[in-house]
Amino acid sequence: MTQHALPILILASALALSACASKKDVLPAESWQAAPAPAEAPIDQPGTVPPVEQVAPTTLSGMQADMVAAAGADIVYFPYDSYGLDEAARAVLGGQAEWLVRNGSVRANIEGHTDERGTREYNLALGERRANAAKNFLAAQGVDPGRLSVISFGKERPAVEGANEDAWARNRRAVTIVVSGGR
Amino acid sequence: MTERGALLAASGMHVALVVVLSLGISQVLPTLDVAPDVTPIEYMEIGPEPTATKMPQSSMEAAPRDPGPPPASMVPETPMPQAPAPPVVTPVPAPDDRAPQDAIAEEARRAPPPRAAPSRAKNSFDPGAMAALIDKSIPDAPVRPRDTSAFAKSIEQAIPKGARISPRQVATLEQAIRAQIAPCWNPPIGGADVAEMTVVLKIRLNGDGSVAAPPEFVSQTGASAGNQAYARAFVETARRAVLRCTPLDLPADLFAHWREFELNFDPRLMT
Amino acid sequence: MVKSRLMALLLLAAPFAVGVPAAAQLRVDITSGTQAPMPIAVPAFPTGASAPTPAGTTVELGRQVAGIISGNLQGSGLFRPLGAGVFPVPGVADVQRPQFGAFRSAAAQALVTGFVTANPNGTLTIGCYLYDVFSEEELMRQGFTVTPAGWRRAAHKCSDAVYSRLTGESGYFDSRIVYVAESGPRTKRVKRLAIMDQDGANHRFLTSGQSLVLMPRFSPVNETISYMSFANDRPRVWLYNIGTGQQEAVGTFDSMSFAGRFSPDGRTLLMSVTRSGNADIYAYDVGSRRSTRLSSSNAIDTSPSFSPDGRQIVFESDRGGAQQLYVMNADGSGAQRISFGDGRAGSPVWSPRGDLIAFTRMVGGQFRIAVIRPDGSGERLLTDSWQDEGPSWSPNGRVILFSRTERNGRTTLRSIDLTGRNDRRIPTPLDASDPAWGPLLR
Repeated sequence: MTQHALPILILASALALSACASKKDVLPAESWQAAPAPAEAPIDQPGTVPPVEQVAPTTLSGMQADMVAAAGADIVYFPYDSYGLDEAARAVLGGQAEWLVRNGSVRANIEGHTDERGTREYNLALGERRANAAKNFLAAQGVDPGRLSVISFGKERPAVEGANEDAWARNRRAVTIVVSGGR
Repeated sequence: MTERGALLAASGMHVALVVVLSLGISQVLPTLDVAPDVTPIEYMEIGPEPTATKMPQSSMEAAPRDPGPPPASMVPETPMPQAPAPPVVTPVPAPDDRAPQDAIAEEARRAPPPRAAPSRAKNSFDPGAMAALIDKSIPDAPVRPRDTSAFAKSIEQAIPKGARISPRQVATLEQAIRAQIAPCWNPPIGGADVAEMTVVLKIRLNGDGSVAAPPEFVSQTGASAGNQAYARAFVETARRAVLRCTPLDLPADLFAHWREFELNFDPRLMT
Repeated sequence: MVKSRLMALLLLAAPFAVGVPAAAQLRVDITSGTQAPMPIAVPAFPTGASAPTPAGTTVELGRQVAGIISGNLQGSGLFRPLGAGVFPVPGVADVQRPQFGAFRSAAAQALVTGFVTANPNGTLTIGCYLYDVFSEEELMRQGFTVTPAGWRRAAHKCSDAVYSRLTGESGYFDSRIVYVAESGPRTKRVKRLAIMDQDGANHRFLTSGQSLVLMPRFSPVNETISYMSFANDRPRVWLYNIGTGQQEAVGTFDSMSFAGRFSPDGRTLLMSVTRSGNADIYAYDVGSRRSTRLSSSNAIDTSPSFSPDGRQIVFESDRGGAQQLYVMNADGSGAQRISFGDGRAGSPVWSPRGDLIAFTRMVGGQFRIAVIRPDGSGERLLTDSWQDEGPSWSPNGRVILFSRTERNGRTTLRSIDLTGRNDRRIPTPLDASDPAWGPLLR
């Protein structure tokens, strides 16, 4: 028995340590482009970044449809360079708030987006302002803010392509995504 | 003529000379066809036909180099052929046909300058039209013939060689040099502090216009400890401009005046 | 009476004795010239005896080195190289004693020549000589010993030596550019980090495109890039050592961080961190991993950039109502607005030369690259297209790299000289954006 104790001890500690490793905040594995590395500056080194489990929340599409049916939409729109909520936006968010209160177990992730007519950094911040505006409204309507998270995509994820007023208007939005899963 | 009269005339002419030299002949007589890079001169439109007949003030300053009474009516806006013969100082080769305009130049500058300068530059020289404008009622100034006595000759010889070029010829020479050197100069625009830099090079030429010696550095402004590399590059662009565009094509009769001269490179119009 | 006449004559002649100043004092002012690229001869570099190397024979390398130098000098917009095909390959003896006649008749003003030698230990020695064609004097000579894999760098270093000797600028050819390579439809764009030499060679991708990546920036002192990644749906700034491949998240912020940019000494990373819908500027100490907040307005403060002496920071803020440029001290105090006039101003970058700040000027829907002095004076618009944004300076503060988006959605990299000339495309294998010019390599 004791001759197995040491290997078991080692195995046990290795398992314990690997569990710690999975909690460290590292990027998911990227598959490197194979390329001949020059002698002076090796860049592509497969395997130097440790793999990680997926911890991102997953979207629940059935519940999303449910919320849309109840609130009328999962998207609200904004005027150019603004993060103010107009009548229509408030009505939609009000409906979402009611639904979220009724379905107390789900969480929601609010995405903020902008049109392309701004510098990249500024638009990331503006998208965050829009997402926050929606979140604050929902919280004011009684949704526990702990269930709400925000993320901004700036101008990186337009809903429609096009360089015209219609496309731009449809890209200036905050989207409420029903999610489950932990952070 | 008394000594006193001559003294007055001499001082008047001294004053005239000083005024002429300090104001700069080149502004008054730009007749050479110059490249666009040269300093532009303000032109003013004054209408299709000059018609003013104002007479100049009669004064010692306005007089031509003759000690006689004021000359025939001078129309300030237009060049006139009727002025008295040119003064004694002429270059050893044949006198310049257009030398009479020296006197006109001083005359015209006493008239309103903006009107005088452009018209002379713009209008072509038409003696017939000019003659029609002269007020014949005023007596012509007497023409003093050149005194060819030995005494006069010795005075001529006593005058330094350098004095035998007229201010107008200086201007012509400057224009010619500038027109040939400027297009060859590529200053390092965009370099730090280049806008504040200038450099003076001394140039020595052979009779055929080629360089007799490499351009010699005389002085530079705008260089500091922090911009040494730009300062050096700046001087080299000036040197290269000279070496690139020599031999220069300049009037052989003025060789004495362009065998050695200085070039001041100043990119202020470009930066 | 005669005496009186004599006196009169003498006095009359007196003014003309003065006459025009003597010829030696004739000084002609040259007050303008022309802005034209300098013709420069770059014939192929000769080699003693052709030897094979892992990078090709030395004869081929001699041709290619001259080609790289020509390409660099041409790309700067300040030179017009005469090389390939115009001159025969010189002999090795001609390198130290060139025959200037041929170059003079081709109207070249300078001559670049050198040689390629394979050394017994496997390295290459590349010589680099610069001559003035008119005065026939040698202006500069340098030699480089490189491994066969690094021969391009010797050509870039030779280009830098030639360029800086003739213009007075410091060089920028031996450097790299990192950027975001884009592909796919705009609604589902795939973005990958990519790196290449400033002339487009040695291109490789650094990430797979699995996560959205933005705003890569070089450290001035080592092989580290800061960039922003949306991995794990947590948008934040990462430090990525491209030598070892190691990555590390910057700070432990709960919210989004972005717009990272290194200080000139590489020890601090400036970035924006959001807080309740606003964004503040933070300074992250790379060594101690500690963050300090520098700005705390109820506004979006972003795009920070240090001055080259590390004492000031330029950034964009909408604290006045719309995006404008502000300059503050490195400790966050004393912020002053420097941009005025039509429209908005954003994404400022301080030139490594310290004399200018490049930024994006937005009027109506049009974005243009502009430069302005740090005191706010002398604003000049350099480009005129639909959407030009995200400027980045070359290491010598002379050339600005930026990204151009066309109405049809295509995005490309372009560069322009600070005088507004030589607007040219930088070719990339895919669409490209967010370029950042790295430091001169050592």
